[in-house]
Amino acid sequence: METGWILPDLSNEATRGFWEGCAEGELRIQTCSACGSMRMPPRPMCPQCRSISYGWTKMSGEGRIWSFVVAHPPLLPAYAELAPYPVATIELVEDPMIRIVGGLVGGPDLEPGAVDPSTVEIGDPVHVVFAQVEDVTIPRWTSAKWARADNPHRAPAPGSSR
Amino acid sequence: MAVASGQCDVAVAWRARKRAAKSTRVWSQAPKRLDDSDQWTRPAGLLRPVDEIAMLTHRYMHEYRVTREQLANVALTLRRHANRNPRAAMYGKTLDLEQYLSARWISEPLCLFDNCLESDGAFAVVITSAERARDLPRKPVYIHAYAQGLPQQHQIMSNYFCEDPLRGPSHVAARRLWANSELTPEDVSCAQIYDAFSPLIPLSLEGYGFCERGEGVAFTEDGGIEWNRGRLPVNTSGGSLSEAYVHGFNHVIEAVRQMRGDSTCQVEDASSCLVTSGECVPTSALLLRN
Repeated sequence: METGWILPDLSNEATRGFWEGCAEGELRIQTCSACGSMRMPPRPMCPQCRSISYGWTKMSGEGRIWSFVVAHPPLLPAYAELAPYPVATIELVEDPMIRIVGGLVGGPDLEPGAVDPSTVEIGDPVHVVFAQVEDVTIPRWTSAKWARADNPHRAPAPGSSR
Repeated sequence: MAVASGQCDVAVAWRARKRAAKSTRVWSQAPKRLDDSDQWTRPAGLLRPVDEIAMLTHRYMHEYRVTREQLANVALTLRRHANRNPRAAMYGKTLDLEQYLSARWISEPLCLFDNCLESDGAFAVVITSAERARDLPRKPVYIHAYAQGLPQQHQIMSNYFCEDPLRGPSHVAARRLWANSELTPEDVSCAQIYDAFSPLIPLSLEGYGFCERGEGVAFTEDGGIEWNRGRLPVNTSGGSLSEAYVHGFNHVIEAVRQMRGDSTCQVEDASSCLVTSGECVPTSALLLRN
């Protein structure tokens, strides 16, 4: 089903290991086979030692918010439905130089837009969850403080202005 | 370069933009599947250039304890410059702090007035040798130095993945620019800095060495970048935020006006003007003198 979301091409040799990991429920970071340094985003050559051989290392999925924005319209239609929504850059606990951009959600398989942006702060600990959008599995980030029992899908909480 | 290397006697550099037609807007051609660096941001909902710059800005504000009231200096100062420039799109429209703070969000922490205008427009400059220019009716303006720059492993617009994301391309271009010139930042009379979004000005002020890292926003306080007040008047035509957005080419034109004494915010005894292209993308800078 076409969702109107902008999604990655999964056939790229250098990057598909990341997306395959997501599809299997694992956050995998490209790792140089020669010098062992991790890099993100994935690319064919290690910027440290210029080796072109690499593998993928499974991460714990724990991180912290390095920065975030709250997107307001005008936005593409599929995204405008969710606005205003927060998008964060996450630094991983294994290596704060490894950063990943992702939506913030209240739990697995929830859409962004459910998290009240006023509850988000730089430095907040988060952990990865995975969401299926068309044939792609994308990482999103959640925290216990955004889990809302009354909100399996984005319905505003009673009395909420949003 | 073409003139200096003898490939031609006269060159014309120009830029035109037509954004009014919906079919020509970038979004009308938004790809559904990405094979480039955008795949690390777009699926997460980081869609527009303003979102990409807002991410860096929020980190900057966090690290250096900057408030929106301080960041507002950029938009307010440039609007005051535009209010003196009859060519500016915002010539007749004033802007105060209250209007800025209550403006609608586009991508927090950036509001409407942190974004450049969306304009149709065209500009051109004629470049020839200094020798040939001496005989021409208009006062010549000289290219004193220029430079291009890009940091290692830089990612265009969404440069969050390197060791030091707040140290952008202007730092690299600046190194080469000042090495090519006996002038220093202290000698520069005024600057036209690429301002698709207001935070690019403080980031560029830091990059080109007008202040230390983390001090770019503080530099804009107390009229620091304002005509007739500040140490370094910036974007004296109103810039992309308040004159017009023609991919920064109007900054070159304004720099020429300053060097000829034709600006509506003319800096007294201006002898040199810095012009920059965008921070956060592969960038370049030009130092003009009269």
